Amino acid sequence: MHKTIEELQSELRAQDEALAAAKEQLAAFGDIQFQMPTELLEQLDDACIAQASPTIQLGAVRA
Amino acid sequence: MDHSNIQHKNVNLAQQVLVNVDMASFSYLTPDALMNYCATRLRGLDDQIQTKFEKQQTANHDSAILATLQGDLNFGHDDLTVSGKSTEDGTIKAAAAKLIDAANHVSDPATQQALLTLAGKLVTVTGTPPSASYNPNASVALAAGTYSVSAMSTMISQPVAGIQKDLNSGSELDMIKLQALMSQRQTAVSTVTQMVQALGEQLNKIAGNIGH
Repeated sequence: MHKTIEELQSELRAQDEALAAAKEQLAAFGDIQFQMPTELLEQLDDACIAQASPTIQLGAVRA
Repeated sequence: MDHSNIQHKNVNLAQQVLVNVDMASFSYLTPDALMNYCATRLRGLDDQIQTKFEKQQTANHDSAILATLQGDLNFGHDDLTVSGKSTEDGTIKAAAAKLIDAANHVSDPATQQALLTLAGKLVTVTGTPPSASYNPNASVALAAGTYSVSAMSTMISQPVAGIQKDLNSGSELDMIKLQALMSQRQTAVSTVTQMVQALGEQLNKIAGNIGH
């Protein structure tokens, strides 16, 4: 069953709120360098790249 | 140890949208650089999602116009006699006016053209949407004669229903794609929040080790 446009827009707002909360948390960490969990970066790439615009390309050459 | 150069390098690396950055270079990032990296990755998805939302809203708008048109088109219940005289054939002209009005108000170009093509069977259409029109004082384009209700339905009403059906089919497909994109975005957002949690845990571990 399809969700309606309104339901999807509501989902989008919820996602944006989650991102904003993450950004606030990150800002609280200041300038500390962190060792990035590589598998999560790759997971993020996979989630975004699979159907991404052709102008955005893979952000890493896998070693 | 001076970390400022490393931080600066990492921020620049993360801000690059360009390709072919060695993942190993991203071993250490500041939170700001991570957010830029995530924002860059999401931008592609967001552009596609925005386009699909706009297309859906356009399709919904056009679909409503077509539904109204289908309800308004009326060729009566009896055979229709077309005289071909410029002062007559009001039923034909009224139907043409509705088709042209709908064409002038829908947004999808293919739908506009399809409606004008149908109107062109009844009257001589001039101009293009949103300013397409016809001369109500001219003779109709439809050949003089007698047309059954069934014939008018085949000529005009059923094709309008067909246009509506095509629009709805395209819209259904776009909705499926849009939902898939939204699902991808949710995965991306969840990944970002997981990263932030992981960073927080790292900080807590470091803080916990201080003084031991």
